[in-house]
Amino acid sequence: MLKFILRRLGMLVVTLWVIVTLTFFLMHAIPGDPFSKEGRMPEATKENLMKYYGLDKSLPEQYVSYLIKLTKFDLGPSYFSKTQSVNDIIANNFPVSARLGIQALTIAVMFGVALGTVAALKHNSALDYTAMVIAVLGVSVPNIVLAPLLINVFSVKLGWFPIARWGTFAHTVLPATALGVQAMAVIARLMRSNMLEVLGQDYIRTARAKGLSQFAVVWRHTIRNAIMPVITILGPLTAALLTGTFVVEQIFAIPGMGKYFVKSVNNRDYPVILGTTIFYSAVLVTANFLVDVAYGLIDPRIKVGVRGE
Amino acid sequence: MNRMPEITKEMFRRIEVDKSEAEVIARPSINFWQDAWRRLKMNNLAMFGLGLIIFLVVMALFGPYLVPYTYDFQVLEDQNQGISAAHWFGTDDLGRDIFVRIWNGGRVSLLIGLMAALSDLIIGVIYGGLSGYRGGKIDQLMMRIVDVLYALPYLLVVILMMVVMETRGIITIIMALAATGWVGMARLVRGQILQLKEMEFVLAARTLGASTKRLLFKHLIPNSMGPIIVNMTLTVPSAIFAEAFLSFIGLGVQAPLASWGTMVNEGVAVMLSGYWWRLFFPAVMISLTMFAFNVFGDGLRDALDPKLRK
Repeated sequence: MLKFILRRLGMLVVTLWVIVTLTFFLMHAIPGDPFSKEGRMPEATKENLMKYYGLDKSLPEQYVSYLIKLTKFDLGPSYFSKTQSVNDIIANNFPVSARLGIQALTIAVMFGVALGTVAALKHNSALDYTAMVIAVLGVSVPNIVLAPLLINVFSVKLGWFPIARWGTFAHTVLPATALGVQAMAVIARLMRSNMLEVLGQDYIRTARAKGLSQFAVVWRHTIRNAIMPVITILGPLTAALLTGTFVVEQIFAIPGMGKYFVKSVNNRDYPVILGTTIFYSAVLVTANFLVDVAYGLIDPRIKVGVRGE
Repeated sequence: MNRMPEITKEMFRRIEVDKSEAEVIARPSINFWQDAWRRLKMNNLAMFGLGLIIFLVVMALFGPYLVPYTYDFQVLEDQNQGISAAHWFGTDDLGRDIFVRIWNGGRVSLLIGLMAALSDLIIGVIYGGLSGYRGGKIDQLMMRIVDVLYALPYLLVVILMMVVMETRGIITIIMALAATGWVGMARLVRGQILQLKEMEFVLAARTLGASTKRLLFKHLIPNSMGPIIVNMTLTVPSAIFAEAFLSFIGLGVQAPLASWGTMVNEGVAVMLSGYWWRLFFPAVMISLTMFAFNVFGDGLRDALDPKLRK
């Protein structure tokens, strides 16, 4: 187990390094210098600016110094916001996005698993069809459509929740829902098909035959087996939620990282784009790593020590 | 007690069987694709999706000619008009007809969906096919590259590509989607090839002296066509969403060209002013299109699944 974790950690570092290298050179492949947008400025000013940000050095030198700073978790300055470094921006904005994301993920997992389980237990009933209609709609209605729809119905018409902005728990309900519904639908569909497969297994018949209650059969024998694939897709789902925050935060005027990222993309603030991409990648790669480890721990059929040998 | 009728020899009659007819196949033989189509036809929801797709394609092609406007034709006096006989879907803040802009946007979305699916097919099949067929060290290396790309969120990479390429437009979006979207397809094709290449018919073909190219394109890839087609169908809605997403955050197609994503973005901005049609129609179109491709793709998956074949 320890060997497996160590090897996965090594892969994690290599993956991150590849991502850092790729994004670094991608960002520096853009023609022109970062200040060309600010209009004409005296040559001397520009030279000083370039020197200040270390842009007068050669590309390999910049790359090495960036890597060295990275090992100290320093993502460098922002060109656009003169008072904040990339680290400050992440520290200020990410907690908001993280809370939004965690709430969305909670909604997705809780309702997704429940919906899929109920649909499978009442296979081919009206309940099953209703659940699957919700799931198909959830997959088909993208967040840029769902968010305005929720605002119109629950804020404008019914007045249950605030229209936008951030603050109390009531502010979080609609954005977290808009963000989580698609993931919920994906989980519900996956859960349903897994449940149906597990329910057809011989060991479920054995469990029923030895007189276990319906609850014990479903809870101990079916859900525990059917939920494994749901855990594996949590990695990709986290990625989808992360990009989802870009639009949801925009629509609900939430001061989170996603909104800031889009702003820096439109401002061409390259160090911020580079820094946030690396940060996001680190979050995701870590999430995938945790999912892998959790999978190895939960599923007794996987003996991680001998895997791949 | 003997109620049983007596069974006599006369009650039996010998039927002569023509031995030569034993080999005749009574029902017409159907191949895999005919069988899949037969099962697809029984799936009402999937057929509904297919009908919707055909409707959307036809309307995207001919819809703009149904009204006497063009997508960039502005009548400033007619701004933000509601639904009327003159403007079926109303107008926007520049007095442009939304009906014509919707179907022009449909062309953009469907073209991007189609091109993304095609580029996934070409890159993914070649990459995955090669990786799975060669196996060993090359496979290991190629799959590590895929793993790294897979760890990154697709849309984040697309955004980075759009930033780097600087120019905005349909071609740029297609290129960015093509550069990132093939990863899933490559994994799928590799898995299929790994499974198929150990089968007897491949050994037979190899024994008969078939070349690598022939093995790949005549035997291995055609036999993995089912999952490939399903994957392509399900790529289309995600590509259409990607375009809407990019256009929504300002990285997509540029004005005056219409796209469902930009129209939703503009519609959200005026949502609370009561111009509901400016948000409603593009939002419905995105959802309908994604719905159609999703249910059709699901139906196709069931129809092509050999496990469900009877």
